[in-house]
Amino acid sequence: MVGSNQQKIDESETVLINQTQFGVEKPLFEEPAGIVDDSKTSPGLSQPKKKNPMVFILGSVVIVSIILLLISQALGHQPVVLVSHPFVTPSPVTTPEQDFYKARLSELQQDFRAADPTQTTLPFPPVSLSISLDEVKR
Amino acid sequence: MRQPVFGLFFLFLVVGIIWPISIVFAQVSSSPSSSPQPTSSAPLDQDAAAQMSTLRSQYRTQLDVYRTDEHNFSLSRDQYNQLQTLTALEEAVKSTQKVLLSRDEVLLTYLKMLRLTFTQTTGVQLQLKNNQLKIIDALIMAINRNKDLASHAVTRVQADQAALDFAAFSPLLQQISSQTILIMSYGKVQSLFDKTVTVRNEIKTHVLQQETDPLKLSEKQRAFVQIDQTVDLVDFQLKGVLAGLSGGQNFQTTQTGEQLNQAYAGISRTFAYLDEVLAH
Repeated sequence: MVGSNQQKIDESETVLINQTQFGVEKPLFEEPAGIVDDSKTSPGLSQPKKKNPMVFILGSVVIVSIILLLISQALGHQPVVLVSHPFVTPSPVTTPEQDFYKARLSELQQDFRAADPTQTTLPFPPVSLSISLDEVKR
Repeated sequence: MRQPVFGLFFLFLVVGIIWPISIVFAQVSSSPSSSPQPTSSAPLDQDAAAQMSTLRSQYRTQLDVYRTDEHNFSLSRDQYNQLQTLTALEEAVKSTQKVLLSRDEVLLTYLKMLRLTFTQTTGVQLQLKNNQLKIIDALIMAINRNKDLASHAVTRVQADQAALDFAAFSPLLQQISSQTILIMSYGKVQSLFDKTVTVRNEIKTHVLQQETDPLKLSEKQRAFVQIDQTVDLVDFQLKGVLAGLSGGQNFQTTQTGEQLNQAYAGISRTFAYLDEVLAH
């Protein structure tokens, strides 16, 4: 009985057993010797090796996305607007010619500020126009 | 073995992103739209600008000297008024001579600056410009003559004569100065208006040609009708200003100045309309 039980246990386990030894001779309350699996004996090296490229890749993706966000803010890009109506094509925000004319208008506005009639750079000098010693007599 | 590979990969990733970003930021900071250079709107060329700079420096110095001399003149005049002595009179005559001379210096330098700026102003009709320059030159001659009189004024009578000579043309000084400044303002506004009309024509041609949507096209045509009306009104106002300025020395500076301000405001409206048309 004892030998048959031990055989069942042994069949369920993938262990190498000295098949010449009888079940009775098998030491009791001892763990059977298991297969030495090389992959399980040094847990400190394999998992990080699998994780290392993922860490770098994830980190790179995060950094790239942050940088792209900063670039778009710096250049003042407008967020992409999804067109709900599929048949209407919106006209472009500005064309090169429009930018050219806007620049010309901007230059003209600088000339406009310089041409302000209320501003003068040559006011009449603050001198008295009635200097006379003759006033002493009066 | 794999660690240096990932390290190199990371390094290339960082360098490949940071370097183009720095180039982009450098281009953004140096682009004309982000840091617009103010265009010089002063009508002076380089030689005239150098002359003007020298005259301004002289003017500031002479004005300081005049203020000191005027103060001394007031003191010596009051002193003579109180003491009535020959010594006090001598001091009063000397200080009068000094202040008359320093005043003439200030006014001469001012008229030279005014003349120089006026000759450089564009947008003014040639005849109007020449007539005004003749008047300014006549005033300069009058002041030089008075300066000569004042330099020989060692007695009380001579000092009085120099003062009287100055009083004969002094009312013209402020009047001619105001008129000249108004003519210069008109020239600047007229030049600005001429450029505005050119830009308006170009924008109108471009916008009406580029617009394909019939609804938007008719909207923009109506907008340009309004812009054209505004431009025509400004043109009419500027012609009125020119007629006023060409009326000789008797033109009303105040009324003409008001009309010029209205024309200036009309140009501002035109810019706003054109900006709006380009934005839509």
